[in-house]
Amino acid sequence: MSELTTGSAPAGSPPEYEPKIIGFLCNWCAYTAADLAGIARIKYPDNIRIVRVMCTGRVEPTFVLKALSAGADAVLVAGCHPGGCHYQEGNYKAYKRTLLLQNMLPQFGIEKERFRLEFVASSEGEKFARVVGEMVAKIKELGPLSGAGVRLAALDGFFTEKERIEGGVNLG
Amino acid sequence: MAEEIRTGVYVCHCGTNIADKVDVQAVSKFAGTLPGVTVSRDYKYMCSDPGQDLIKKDIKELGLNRVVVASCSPRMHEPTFRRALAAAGLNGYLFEMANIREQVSWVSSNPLQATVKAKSLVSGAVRKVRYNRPLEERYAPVNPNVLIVGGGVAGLEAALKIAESGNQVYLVEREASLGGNMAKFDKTFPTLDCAACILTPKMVEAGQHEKIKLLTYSEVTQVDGFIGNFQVKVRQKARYVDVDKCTGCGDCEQVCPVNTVDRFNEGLSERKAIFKEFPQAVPNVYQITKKGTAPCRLTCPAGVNVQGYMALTRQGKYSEALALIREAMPLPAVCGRVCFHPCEGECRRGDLDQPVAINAVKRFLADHEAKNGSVPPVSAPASGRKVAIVGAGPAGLAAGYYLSRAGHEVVVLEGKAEAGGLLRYGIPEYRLPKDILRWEIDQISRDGVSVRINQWLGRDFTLEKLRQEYDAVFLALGTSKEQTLGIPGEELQGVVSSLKFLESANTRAESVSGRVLVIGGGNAAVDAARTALRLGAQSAEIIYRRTRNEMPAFAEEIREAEKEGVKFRFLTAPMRVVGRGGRVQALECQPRQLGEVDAGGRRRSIPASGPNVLLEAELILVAVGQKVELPASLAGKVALGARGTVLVDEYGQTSSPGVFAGGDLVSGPSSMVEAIAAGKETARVIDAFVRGQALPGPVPKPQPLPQPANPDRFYKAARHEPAQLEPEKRRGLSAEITVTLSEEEVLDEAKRCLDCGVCSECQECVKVCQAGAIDHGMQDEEVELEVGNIILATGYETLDPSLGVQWGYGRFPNVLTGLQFERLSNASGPTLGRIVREDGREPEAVAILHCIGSRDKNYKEYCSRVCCMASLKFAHLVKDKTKARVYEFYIDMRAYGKQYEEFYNRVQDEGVNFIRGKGAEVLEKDGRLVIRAEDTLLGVFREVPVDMVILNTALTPRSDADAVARLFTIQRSADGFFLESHPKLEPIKTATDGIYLAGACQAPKDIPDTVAQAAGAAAEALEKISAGRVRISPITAYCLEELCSGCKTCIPLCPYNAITFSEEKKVALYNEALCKGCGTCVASCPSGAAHMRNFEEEQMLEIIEGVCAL
Amino acid sequence: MTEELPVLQEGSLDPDFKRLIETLSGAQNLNACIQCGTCSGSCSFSERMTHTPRRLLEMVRAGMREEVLNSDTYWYCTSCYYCTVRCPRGINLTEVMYALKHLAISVNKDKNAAFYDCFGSVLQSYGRLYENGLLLRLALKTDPLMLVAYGPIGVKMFLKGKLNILPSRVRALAEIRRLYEKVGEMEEKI
Repeated sequence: MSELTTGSAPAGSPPEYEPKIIGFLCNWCAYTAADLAGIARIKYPDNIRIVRVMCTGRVEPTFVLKALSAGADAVLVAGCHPGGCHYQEGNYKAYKRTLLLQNMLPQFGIEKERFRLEFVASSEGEKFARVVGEMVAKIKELGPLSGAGVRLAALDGFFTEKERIEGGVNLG
Repeated sequence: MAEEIRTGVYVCHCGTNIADKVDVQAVSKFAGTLPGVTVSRDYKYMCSDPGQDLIKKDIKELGLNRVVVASCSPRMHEPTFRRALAAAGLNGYLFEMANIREQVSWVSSNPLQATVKAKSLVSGAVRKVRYNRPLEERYAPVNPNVLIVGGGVAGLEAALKIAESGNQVYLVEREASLGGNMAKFDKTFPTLDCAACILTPKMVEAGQHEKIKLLTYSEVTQVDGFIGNFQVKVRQKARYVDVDKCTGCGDCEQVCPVNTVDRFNEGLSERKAIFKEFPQAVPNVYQITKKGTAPCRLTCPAGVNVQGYMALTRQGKYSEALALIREAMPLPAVCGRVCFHPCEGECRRGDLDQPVAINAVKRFLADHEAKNGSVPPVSAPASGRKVAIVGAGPAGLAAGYYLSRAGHEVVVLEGKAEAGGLLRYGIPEYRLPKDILRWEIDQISRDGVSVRINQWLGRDFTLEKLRQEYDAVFLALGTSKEQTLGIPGEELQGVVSSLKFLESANTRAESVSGRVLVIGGGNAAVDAARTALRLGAQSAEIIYRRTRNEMPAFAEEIREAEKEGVKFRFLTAPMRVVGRGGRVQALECQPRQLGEVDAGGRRRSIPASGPNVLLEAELILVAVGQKVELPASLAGKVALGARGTVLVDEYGQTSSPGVFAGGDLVSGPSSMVEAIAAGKETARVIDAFVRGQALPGPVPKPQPLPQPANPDRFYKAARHEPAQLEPEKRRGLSAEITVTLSEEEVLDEAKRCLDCGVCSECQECVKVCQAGAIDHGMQDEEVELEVGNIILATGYETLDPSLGVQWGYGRFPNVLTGLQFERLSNASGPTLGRIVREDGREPEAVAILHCIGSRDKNYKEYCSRVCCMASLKFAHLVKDKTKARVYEFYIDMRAYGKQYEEFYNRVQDEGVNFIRGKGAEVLEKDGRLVIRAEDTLLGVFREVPVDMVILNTALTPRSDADAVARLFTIQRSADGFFLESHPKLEPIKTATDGIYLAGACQAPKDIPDTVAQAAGAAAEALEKISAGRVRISPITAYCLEELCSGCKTCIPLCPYNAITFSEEKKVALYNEALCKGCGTCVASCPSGAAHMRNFEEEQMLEIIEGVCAL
Repeated sequence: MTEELPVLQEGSLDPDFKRLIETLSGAQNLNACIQCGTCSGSCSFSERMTHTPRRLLEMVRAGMREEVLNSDTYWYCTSCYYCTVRCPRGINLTEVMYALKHLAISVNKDKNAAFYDCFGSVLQSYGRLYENGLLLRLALKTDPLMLVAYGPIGVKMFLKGKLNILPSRVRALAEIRRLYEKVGEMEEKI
């Protein structure tokens, strides 16, 4: 949960839930795109905190888990498009690590939507803003990341989904 | 950490940029409460001198050892602040920035939230900076060489500037000549200078400058290294012409028989396969376009250069064509009659209408030669070696021919009364007249091969005798024995092997009576049946145990046989011959069906239900296959294979040294052309063998054509089929069925050839080149360069307007692109500068359309900048050279540059009709082209009839811009052009240090801007060269060897090969000079031995903790 | 010529008109138009329109509500979509034309709306076009003398067997009516 308040909630009502998202952005593409969004004055939600790395290849799963345990509700890792990495292949390695992570997180009770890898080129300021907006909206739906209650609920969700698929009825 | 951390935090207002959203005082106050923060201030402009002085003062007076600035993006001012720290005596890397402008105040709409966000980022930075360590910057020397990619006006300008400064330039240009797109123009705006006149001096100067090394017709394939130290690989494409010897005289162009599309003339004309791009090309030499080996040539078992002799035939050079054929195959007359022409099956013309009648053309050439005499080939000087060949069939004759040409004395020993093998004794007269065969074999004998007849191996000579008397022996005995049926009654009189039957028909031609049954499905069976009918048989029926689809005989032969009345009985197998009094009476046959596919790929023939049939016949011919008949005298002398064929190694040598073998003897029953190919191949090996040289490996497989080949020219033309004798007239053995084509028909066929490989290697150019500059065997070469800076000046392409059906390009004639019009107007273009339509008439009215594909969300959203002025230029040229009326359909008139508006004025004065309304559609009406548009200024709808339309198409990035960007590790902007560092302030630098942009590859621009930018790029490079060294970031990875477990996980991850494994210490070795600092290895290290300066794990965890706190 | 150049009275302009049409036509961005004239040049019916599509759009942008709604341009739109496909600014002009049609019908502008009304009511009655019924309703709504004017054509059509005296009904008429009802509901929402 963030100390952010919307400042627009009616007096006396509980503050609206504002998720906290940590973004690991690579210096050459995604961070530049975020700067570009700023230069173009494109507005996106303030829920994101950006941490600069030189390349998404630097991002370890440890960082993601640390962020989630330190109070973040979701993590975004954004780097160059495949083939466009400033260091040739760092983003491919990041991608492979994220695949593993995305399978692991639900087993901790963390919905896989709370971790997102995105490819953002240095000229894609608009895209960056859009991605942040989408993620904030999604996490708002999912709610804050907290303890066991959430964990069990997430596991239930896991089984129910399987049934839905096996039953052959497309409910969503 | 022992030292006490004393951090100074400075929160910048940036005027109102930050302060209007973020409560900077609150952030500063908050920062003051964080652990390790000694002082926290806010100030209006931290990047200004007073702002920096604040920091310096605090460092000195308050003993700060860490600094955090919360302001703009570190990509903007990190270096500024690092320098400020250094000036105050503190290492610049003990510094962190929090980006609260681009990433907070400018993107937020909520001041409360923005302030909280800013506080969290500051918190993160404060926590991280505690763990920052001082880092020393490294320096690397700068290699003074410069690589310039692109030889257009941008590349030339930059090259000349740098060369004049005394530094070495490598100028790489993909096309054959310098000049780029500008070389295609006629005049340039606004001065109306002739483009070539102002460009060629630069081209020539660059070509002659001692400090410029030209690498034309070349491409960069690999780039490694970093600024100051790049290693570049360049592939120089084979020109097939020696640049140093070629004088540019053009004799070769005169004789080249192949035409292809002239891309320099934008597809408006054709050029030869050997060409110079344009008369003022630099270097002023020719080159040859080779796309690959044409499929006809590739598929011919003998490797005959089909495309080559087709091209020569097209020019009427029949003897040259035959000489080219004989390079691969010495029996053209025979081939032109009996070959099964796999070449026609692969002919790409067949994809359009019908394949070229290659076989018939070859036949014409041979027959023409027979009438007009031939020229003997040139042989190598006598070698003094002798080779004996046993068997004068196609394999033996071919081997003899090539060995004789190689300078050896050749003797061919033939057992029968005449040479030719199955050509003489197997193939019937009506397919291959014997006198033609004799004539062809005579040619071979005349050319130095001595053929001795009635010489049987074993009876008249032995293998040992040959091995003693000759330097090598080639066995080409073929497969002369018939397979037997293995059924009862086979030995009865009247059951004859088809080989014997055909041989007898080819010698004595005795008549046949009664009913004839032929067992088998190959060519021998069909030949036997057709021959039997001609010799008078009452009927001839072919019995085959599978169906027509599985018959190995040539489809044509089967068709002709049917026409002539041969019957076919499929799915029938012989069981028993019924006889009476020792003579055959009938054949008992079993019905068959097709089963599963066998090992050979054909479906098995298995018994079917139903009764056997009894077929009466007077003569049964067996044609179920041939096998080797090994003479007794060879038994035990040479190793045999499974099917009784002679075994040879990869060189064609048998188990007996010095004895080679080839043709059907080795391969089993095959075709004539494959036998010839075998003879030729073995001759090549024997040639080396008798000279005592190392035996040569196989000839490298030629390069096939890239699929699919789009024929550049296409007009439908039906194939000339050789006339055929009607079946009723096919009496007697000797009437040839097909007639040779006439000369006109042959020339037509030769013209139908698409020249798939472009250059056909006919060698005519080689013959006329007096400088001896042509070398068809040239290969691409690779060059490695070391440079310190790279300038990309790769230019632009234009949009293909056929994407928009409404513009009529490619649908109607006389609709041109701007570049096509330039070529028309250019004096060295396809019309020598006359502005005319395709039908040669001058236009009476010309329409010029702006914005075709530019300013258009459906194609390119941007404005191409130069086309308004180009349109004015075109209008002027049309007015100048013709009497036509000119209509310009425009949306805006962008005449922004120096003298541009004045030029617009001038063109207006020339009486051009300007219609403000985009040309929406080009139609054809009543034989004229019509432009539909709204004249928006008049507010009326107009349909303007014209005779020629010029489309100003959008300037686009090159189609391979993506690949080039990756090669040089630069990015592209959203419009696809290369991305500059900053669109306003740094239009030349890229995100990759040491790589600069010049010209239209960065964005569309006119010539003055291109030249200016190129000079700027040169200045960037010279700046680095002048400084002599560059600063390398110290942010690299390193390894704590004591923690390294030697797992080698990190080693393959580094794209720069900066990590190696030490065998002695069993740990990873990090080469920090090569490391670029991505951190991938660090993230992967399971032992925690790999570290990254300034992005250590503890630093990352601290900053995460910090930004998550609020 | 005594025609005076018309002066646009600023007071007569409706500043919200552009916004209204933008919304009605599905959030088109009419600001983006550069008045290039491609739409008019491509339009199959440009020559017959009083105002070309381009001009009409400029009038919409300026806020000339009355002139726009009184124009015949959008009625002549055949929905060929050439303008939309070729517009370099990506404006869906056909949607704008539909929006104008809807607006015009809802404010009962112009007797051309009558044709669409009658056509629709014939379809709701029979599920199929009934030319006689259409003509009758149209004449009653607009101009009874129309019947006389169309008489000769009617005879010719009848002789060629292209005109039915009596209407033929579609079997699933109830469903067609339901369609119209539903569309009516949806239109209410806009």
